[in-house]
Amino acid sequence: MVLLLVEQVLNGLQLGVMLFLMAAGLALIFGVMGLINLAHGSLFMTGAFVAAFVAGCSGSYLLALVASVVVAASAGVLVELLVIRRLYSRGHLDQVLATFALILIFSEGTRMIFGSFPLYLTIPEALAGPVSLPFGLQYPLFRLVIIAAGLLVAGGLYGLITRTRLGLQIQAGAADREMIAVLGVNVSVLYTVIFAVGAGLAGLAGALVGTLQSVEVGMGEPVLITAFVVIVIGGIGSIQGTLVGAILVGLVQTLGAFLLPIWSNALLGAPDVGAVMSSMIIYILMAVVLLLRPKGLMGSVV
Amino acid sequence: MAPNYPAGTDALSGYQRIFEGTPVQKVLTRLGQTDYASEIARIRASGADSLFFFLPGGMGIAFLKQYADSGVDIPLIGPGFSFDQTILPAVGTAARGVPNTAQWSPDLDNDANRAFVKSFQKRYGRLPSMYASQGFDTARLMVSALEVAPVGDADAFREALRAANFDSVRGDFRFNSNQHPIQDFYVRRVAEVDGILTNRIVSVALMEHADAFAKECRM
Repeated sequence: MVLLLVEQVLNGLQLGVMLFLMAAGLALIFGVMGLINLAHGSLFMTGAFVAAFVAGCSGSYLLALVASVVVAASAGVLVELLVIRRLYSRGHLDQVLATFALILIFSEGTRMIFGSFPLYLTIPEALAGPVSLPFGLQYPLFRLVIIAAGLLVAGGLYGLITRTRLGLQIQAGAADREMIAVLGVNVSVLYTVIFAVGAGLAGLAGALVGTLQSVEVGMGEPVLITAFVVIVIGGIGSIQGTLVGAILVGLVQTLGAFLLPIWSNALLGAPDVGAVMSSMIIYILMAVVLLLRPKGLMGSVV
Repeated sequence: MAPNYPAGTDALSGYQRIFEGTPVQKVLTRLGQTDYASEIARIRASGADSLFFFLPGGMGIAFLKQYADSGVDIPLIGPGFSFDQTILPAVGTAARGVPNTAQWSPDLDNDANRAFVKSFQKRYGRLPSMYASQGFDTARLMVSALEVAPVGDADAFREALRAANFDSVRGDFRFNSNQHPIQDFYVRRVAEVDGILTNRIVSVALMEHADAFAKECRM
């Protein structure tokens, strides 16, 4: 039982890092640019499909990962130039409408290119199978790789925002868009770059997570909802907050699904009550966090 | 294990109705869930001899891939939906050898099915799915009724449909009093045939099986 609990904590951390990977790009776009991008899930799906296609053609998983980032980022640039650029000065409702249309266009476009059947994308041989951890724990190697990738992205983003000139401009742009334009920064190029980075991160997440899951049209939308929950809990505009929020959601989700049925069985003799509760536990968590801290755990902007 | 929604709990109670062993544990998942690390850890620790799971569509693809990678070796069994021809190419070798049940299989040996599979392959360049077989049967059923009754005469047309007088690709079947089919169910096993993952019939699971609720239906 203790060993199983340890494994579930590890699973929770792993899910948390996976959620961070999915939410990181959105945190950048939503948090910094203040844009509600519902098409984030579509960019996630694009990454997964490109990875599956390239891995299928070339047999190289690494090449597939690179391609997924490049194509998703390029799609991001295209979308920013054609659509998103016109939305910054408009209200959230216009942004929701326009990016919802993008979801439909991406989904139908993907269906037209790849058909409606799920694609095959599997873990590369070198990363497949479980490894032995201390205390006789067996854990899939690829999930450890995802944890490493997520932490790497978290570190990279933190470094980008706090240590580089681009990061300085991003922060300044979030605080006062007009002022940094007056100071001579080309804001429209800056925003295209941020959007491309966010889209590239979504593509990378799609490729990595798609490897474990099902690569199919519509795979991005559930991700979108969880990603928004993570960002709202963590606090809008904070990359650290997104990481904390993601790990919190991952742990609560995993341990909730594991412990609630056991508890409800012990207390009420009805394990199904716990199973029902565990489906909504992250939303309850979000409500509680917002009640206590309306700006999220580490949020500054609202 | 099944998602916590009506079709999921239905599948579990249906399996338990016929299952002769002792169920160790019931695992309910979220509908649309795509990460099963937590459930797989519980399955590994459960000490069960086998796992019945009902996870249609992408949920099944995700679970099968993750289960194969986890190194857990408790044998799986499931309904045909998770091993359908639309799903197998995406799951890959993770599905090989898994037994599953359905009322139809591409290798089912009857004239109607042989002709159906052959012409479907010729037209679309792939093996038909279970859904394709059901669509084909439905269309043939309507054509068979059209041949004996005019559509304008609703009562006569309904009776003609009830007779189900056509060669079904699932083999002989008839409609029960509640208008659900009485038919055979087969155990199939996922096998690689000419480099393509598909299902091969192992045996008949249930002969002329009628659903459990037919007697309660007042239709």
